[in-house]
Amino acid sequence: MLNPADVNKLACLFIEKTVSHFVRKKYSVSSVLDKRYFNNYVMGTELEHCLEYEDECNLLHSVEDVEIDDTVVITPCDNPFTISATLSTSSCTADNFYFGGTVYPSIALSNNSYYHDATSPLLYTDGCTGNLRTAGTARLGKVRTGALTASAFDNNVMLRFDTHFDITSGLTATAMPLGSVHKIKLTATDANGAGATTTTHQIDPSTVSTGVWTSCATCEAIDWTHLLFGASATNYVTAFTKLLKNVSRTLYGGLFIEPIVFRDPAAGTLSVHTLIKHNPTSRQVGIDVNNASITYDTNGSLNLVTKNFVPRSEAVVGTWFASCAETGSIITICPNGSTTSRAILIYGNFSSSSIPVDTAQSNWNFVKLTALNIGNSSSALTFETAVGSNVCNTYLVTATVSPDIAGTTYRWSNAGDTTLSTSKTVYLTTAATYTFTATTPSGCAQTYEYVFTIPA
Amino acid sequence: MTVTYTDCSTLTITSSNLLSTNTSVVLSMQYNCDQEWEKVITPATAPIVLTPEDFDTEDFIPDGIYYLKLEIVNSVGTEIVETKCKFVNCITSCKLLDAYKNNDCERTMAFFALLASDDCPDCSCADLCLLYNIATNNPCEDVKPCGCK
Repeated sequence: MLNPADVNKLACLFIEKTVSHFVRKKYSVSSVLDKRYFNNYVMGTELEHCLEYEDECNLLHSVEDVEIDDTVVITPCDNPFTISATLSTSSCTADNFYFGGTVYPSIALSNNSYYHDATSPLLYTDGCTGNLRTAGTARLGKVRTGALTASAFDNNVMLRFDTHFDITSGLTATAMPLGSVHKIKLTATDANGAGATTTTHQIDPSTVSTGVWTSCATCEAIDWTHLLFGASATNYVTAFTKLLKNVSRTLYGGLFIEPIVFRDPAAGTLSVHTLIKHNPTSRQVGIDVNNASITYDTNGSLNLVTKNFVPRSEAVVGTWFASCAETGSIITICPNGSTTSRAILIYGNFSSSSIPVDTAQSNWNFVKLTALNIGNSSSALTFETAVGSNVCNTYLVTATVSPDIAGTTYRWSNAGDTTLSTSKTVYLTTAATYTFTATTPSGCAQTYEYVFTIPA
Repeated sequence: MTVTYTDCSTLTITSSNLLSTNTSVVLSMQYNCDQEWEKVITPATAPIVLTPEDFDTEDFIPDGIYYLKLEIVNSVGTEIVETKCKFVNCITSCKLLDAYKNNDCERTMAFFALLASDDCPDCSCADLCLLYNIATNNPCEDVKPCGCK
């Protein structure tokens, strides 16, 4: 049996001779059809099963000089090369926290320490290289409430980062120079720091002048006239602060509150902010902002007015016992009081636009923390000191061109043919198919498709 | 490239170079060394199947000589060109009946050469077109019987 290549030769030879007959009349019809080429082709195809060895030899001899070019035409680039790509992932590290422009690695909240009394803007940078990264989250720290004890104490605000509170307004020295605070409602825990109860105490100047709040052993002397609304702001704040301390000393035998008092006589505002320990192991006295009021005498003639504390708008988030809320980079910690143990992650959203890696502090993100109703934890309430654990990653894809010819240009593009990079590397953030094109100086362009998926 | 013709209605083009990773595949064609036609194919591993609709006919692909040219750009940018000249024979065999009856040796010889062209991978389309024209267009009065030269 002839092999296919030899059959091809027989066919081509037959066709060639036939065409030659028509073109150049070189072969007679009979010589083509009857004598050789046609017969040979028919024998090599239709009659191949009848061929003897000698017949095959004769056929092969007839086509031994025939050459057939059946190769595929390939027009290669001048400099053929191959392209591949690899993905490398860089994990970010939140490497610094800033508070008021100063490196502030964490907010230490622990037993027997006072909380910060104001909103704490946290600025951070991260260790990611490059300016593009995936939108993700970075854990800045966490607050662990520990085992909460179910008691009324849980319903009291024991931790808050906020501004102080306006007690009321209109207490101007001009309008009511003889007016004064008459009663104030304070909240106190038991000796173990739990079981808070709220009691209203009369603290008007007459009780001071009669020695009710200045007669304990550790009590400080107070000029009762400084408690009148007509007094200077400095004198009023000093006297009122002493008064609150004396109340605590007199009622509970010690100094448990650290009040901060502000007064603006012109605006007629009086603000009181008590700093209260979290997880106290001893008695605590302070102002429960959810159950606080003040009664004041407008003119010294017992013309009494009672008003509740009015927290400033930015200070209270109405998400008690609700799920945590997040608005932009402002995060509210609002644990559910019925949960006995709960860890709260504080995190910020990362995106390529929100976290430029530069040294301009004004561009850094910040997280505003407002913690409400943390409750009476049996363990220390602390922010993690090991801040910076995060899930922020950068994804860098690097194309490899082999051989990498000098002068070759590169281009990464997306599905919309938008140029993402003109180098061999590109930072990717969205799962999709991207195209890398390399063009040699001779104009040979080769493309490579890279399917990017965000690693699990 | 291999071209097979089935039931007068399907022209199937296969090639080991038809890969899903190709970036471009263009099939161009010339009919009877005259009419030109081009079709851009979505890169695929499957054979390219042409039907009468591709030739603006309804029932069958017209008989004749088809020059097929496959231009492929593969995944690394290399351009590969494959060509094939194909004799499509649906009704030409029947048209040759009168040649047999009239002992028209030249038409018969040309037709048999066309039939042999499937076994000739590098036959030129110009040659096959010449044979096709002789096989199908020779007038009766110009009959040249075999052996009468």
